[in-house]
Amino acid sequence: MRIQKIRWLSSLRLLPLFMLPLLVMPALGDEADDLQLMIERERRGLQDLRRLDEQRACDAEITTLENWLNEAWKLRGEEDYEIAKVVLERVDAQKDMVREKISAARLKAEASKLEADLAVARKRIKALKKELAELSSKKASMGEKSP
Amino acid sequence: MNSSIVRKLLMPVAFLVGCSTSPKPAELTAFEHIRTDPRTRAAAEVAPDLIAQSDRLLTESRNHWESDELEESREYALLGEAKVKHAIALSEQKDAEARAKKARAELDAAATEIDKLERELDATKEHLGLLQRIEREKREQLRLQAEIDRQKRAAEEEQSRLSEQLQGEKARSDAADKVKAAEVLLKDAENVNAPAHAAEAYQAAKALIERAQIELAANQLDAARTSADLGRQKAAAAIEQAKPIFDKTASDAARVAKAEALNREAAALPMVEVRRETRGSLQRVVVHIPAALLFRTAKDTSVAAGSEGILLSVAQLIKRYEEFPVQVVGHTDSRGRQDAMLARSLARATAVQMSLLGNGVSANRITVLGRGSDEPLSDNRTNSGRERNSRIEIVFMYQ
Repeated sequence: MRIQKIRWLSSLRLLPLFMLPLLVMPALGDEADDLQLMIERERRGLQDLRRLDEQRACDAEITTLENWLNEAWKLRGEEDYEIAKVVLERVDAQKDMVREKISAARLKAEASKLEADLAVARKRIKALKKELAELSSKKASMGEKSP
Repeated sequence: MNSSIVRKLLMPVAFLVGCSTSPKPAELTAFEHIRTDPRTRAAAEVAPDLIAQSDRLLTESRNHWESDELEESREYALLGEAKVKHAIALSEQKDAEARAKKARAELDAAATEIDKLERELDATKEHLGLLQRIEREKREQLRLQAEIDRQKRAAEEEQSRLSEQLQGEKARSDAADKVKAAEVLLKDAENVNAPAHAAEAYQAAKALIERAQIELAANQLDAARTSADLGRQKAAAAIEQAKPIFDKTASDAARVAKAEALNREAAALPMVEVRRETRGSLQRVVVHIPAALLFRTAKDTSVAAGSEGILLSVAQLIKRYEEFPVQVVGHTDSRGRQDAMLARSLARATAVQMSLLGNGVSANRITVLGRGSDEPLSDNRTNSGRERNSRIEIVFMYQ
C-alpha cells in the first residue's frame, strides 16, 4: 500500500515534467500572435507614415522600416522571437524618428514657404517702394509745375 | 621541411589574426559618423535624453564590436543612429519652427509694411491722378483760352474788317450822297435856267460833278467828295446867280401872260375900248369906258341908272386880276374951265370907284385920279373927238 502510494506520489513528481510542454506551448503561441499583432500594427503605421510624408522626405527611412518589419516577420516565422522583438524595438525607434523627421520636413516646408512668401513680400515691398519713389518724384515735379 | 617552416611562419600571423577584432560594422561607422555631425551637437541641446541614450547605445555597440559580437554591435548602432536621427529631427523641427516664427513675424511686418505702402501708393496715385487731372484741365483750359483768344482775334479782325468795310461803304455812301446832292443842286440850277443865266458857274459845276462821278466810279472817294463839294458850291453859286434872273423872267412872263389875259378879257367887255401903254418901266392895260355910257349928261357926276352892268363886269375883272393895282382915272373934254373939268373928272372917277366898291372890289386896290382935259385922246374941236376924250379909264398897272 505504501509502495503504491510512493509510486503514485512519484508519478505526481513527474507531472510537472509532463505539464511543462503544455504550459510552454501556449506561451510560445501567444508570443507569436503578439509579434504578429505588433508587426501588423507597425505595418499599418507604416502606411500612415507614407501618407504623412507629403514631402517624401523619409522615403529611404520608410523603406528601411519596411525591410525591418519584413525581417521581424521572417524572424517570427523562424520563431526567433527574441531577435524579432529586438528588431521591433529598433522599428519602434526608427518609426518615432521618422515621424519626427516628417514633422520636421513639414515644418521646414512650412518655414520655406513662409520664407518664400517673405521673399515675395520683400520683393513686393521693394517694387512698391520703387513705384512710390517714382510716383513721388513725378508728383513732386507736377506739384512744382502746378500753381 | 618547407611546410614546417611555412607552418612556423604562419603561426604568429594566425595568432595575430585570431587576436585582432573584426572589421567595424558599417552601421557602427554610420552611427559614429552621424554622431560627430554638427547637427548632433545642436540636437543635444534640444533632446539631451535621446542623445544620452544614443551615447549609451554607441558605447554598447563599440563594446560588442570589440567583443566581436557584430550582430549586437550592429543592432545597437542601428538603434543609436535612430535615436540620434530622432534628436536631429526634433532639433530640425525646432529650427524650422523658429524659422517659421521668424518668417511669420517678418511676413506680418512685411504685410503691414505692404499695406502701409499700398495705402501710401494709393494716396500718391490718387494725388497724382488729381494733379494729372488738374494738369489736363489746365491744358484744356489753356487750349480753350487759346481758342477763345483766337476766336476773339478773329472776331476783332472780322469786326475791324467790317468796320473798315463799313467805313469804306460809309465813305462811299457819303461821297455818293455828296455827288447826288451836287447832281440835285445842278438839276436845281438847270431848273432856274442856270445854263443860260449863269453859264460859267453852271459849266464849272457840271464839269466838277462829272469828274466826281468818274472818281466815285473809280473808288477815289476823297477826290470824289472834294469834287462833289466844289461842284455843289459851283452849282449853288450858279443857282444864286441864275435864280433872280430866272424868277424875274418867270415873273415877268407870268405877268405878261396875265396882262395878255386881262387884255383879252377886258376887250371882251361890251362897249369899251382897251389899249396897252408903256410909261417908263410901267405897263398899263387901260380900259376905256366912254363917259356917255356911265353919265346921263355932260355935267353929271353920278353914275346913271342902267350902267351898273358895265361897272359890274369891270368890278369882276378887277377882282379876278387882284395882283394888278388899279387906277380909276376921270377925263373930260376941253369945254369948260380947266379946274371945273378937273373937279368933274375926279368926281366922276370917285363915283365909278364907289360903284366898284359897291360891287365888292377892295378899297385899298383902287386909287382915284381926275385928269380933267389934260390927257386928250382926240381932237376936242370935233364932237367925236370930245366924246372920245370924255371918258373913265380903268388902268391896270404892272411892270
